[in-house]
Amino acid sequence: MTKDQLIELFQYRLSGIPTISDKSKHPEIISFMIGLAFNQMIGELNAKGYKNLSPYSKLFINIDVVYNSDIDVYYSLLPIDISTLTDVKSGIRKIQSMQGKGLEFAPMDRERLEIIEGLDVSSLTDIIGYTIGKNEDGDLAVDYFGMTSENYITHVKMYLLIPFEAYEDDDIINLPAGQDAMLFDMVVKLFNGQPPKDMKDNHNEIKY
Amino acid sequence: MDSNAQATLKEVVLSTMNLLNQDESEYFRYYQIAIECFRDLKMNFIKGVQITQLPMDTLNRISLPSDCVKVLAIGIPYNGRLWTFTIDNDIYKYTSIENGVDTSESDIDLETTDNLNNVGFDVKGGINEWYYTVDYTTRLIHILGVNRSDVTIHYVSDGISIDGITYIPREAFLPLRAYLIKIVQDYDPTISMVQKSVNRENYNEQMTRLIRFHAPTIDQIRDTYLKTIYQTPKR
Repeated sequence: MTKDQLIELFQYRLSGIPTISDKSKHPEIISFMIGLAFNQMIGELNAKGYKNLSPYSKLFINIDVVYNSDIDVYYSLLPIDISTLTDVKSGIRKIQSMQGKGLEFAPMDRERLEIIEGLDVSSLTDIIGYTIGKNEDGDLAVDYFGMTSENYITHVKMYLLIPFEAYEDDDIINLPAGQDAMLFDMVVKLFNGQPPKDMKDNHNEIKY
Repeated sequence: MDSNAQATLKEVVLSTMNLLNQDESEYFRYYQIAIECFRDLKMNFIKGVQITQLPMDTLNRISLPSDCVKVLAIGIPYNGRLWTFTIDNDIYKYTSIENGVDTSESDIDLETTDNLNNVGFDVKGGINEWYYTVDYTTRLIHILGVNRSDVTIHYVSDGISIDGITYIPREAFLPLRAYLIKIVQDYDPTISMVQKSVNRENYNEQMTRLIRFHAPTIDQIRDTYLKTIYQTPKR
């Protein structure tokens, strides 16, 4: 089901709920609410230790690998916003070379980087580590650990877990089997718990 | 190297992660622990001697290979066998830097001492003509009396290749994996004591197999006992 179709489906299903005003059933608002619920659902799956999140990730290819001589690091800027999950992989489920051969990549915890750097493994393995964090411009970037001028590659491909709002309208959205009804419930709850229309603080009664 | 008789350290790590259903985010942690476990196995359980030929510097010294943890023998080829040098811990090891060059101390002048005139390494009758001593602190072997640029060293290696792929003998694959699992899970508070006991039992079993694998065969024991290398009649 594409993102557009999903929004239409929710619009149809919400139309039968009288407690939700018609104004709230605008596609933009519905999309926003689905996004909140969808992102929360993926986050909860991840927190529960559900490891196979690949079906919900999207492939991005030809991502540049560039060198920052100031800090002596090879890095890639992410082509899109990602879901920032709490595990080490976060929203980057896999990085590979363009053909998937040669260099291999494994995620690393940036806070444990100094520990790894001080151990034998840092110089004895041919696997490239990567960490996720914001660069000096505040953009999310992937820093590569163990990449040198000798094993450097110019482009990589990434499987990224992106938030609902980052999907294109015609992108197919995969929902975990058996979770679609839960997604609907979550969206309805979000609508029911929406803030009051009149937010003006005039010490009068709040109008709903 | 493409051989069924050998595996790589990386294969052991990946096999362990596969067994424990871990994803690649644990790779570096597992690999480091595998290095430490394999070093222990290599030094204490896996037999095997590393052999290499190394050049001497102008002061007749050899830098120990980086993976050398214990020197077993040093020698030169002679009649197709290794002619080993004799340990002499009195070899003068002190050097000083002169004009930026590592320089050995000069000998004292013995020419006027008649008693020593006929004593030298060219005089036959000693147990050996060439001597060495190992200084593990400075990672140097000091050699005396050898008129040769290269010598052969037999040593115990820690098994880890620092400039290439680390290979491990096939018989050490399962023991190393059992060792790795035991260490990883021993320090994991979420693992039950029952599972930790199972890990320990499995580790002990694998180590027993490894020790048995390297035990001498009954023929080797008999040959040693009967000294059949001298071709005495076998009974």
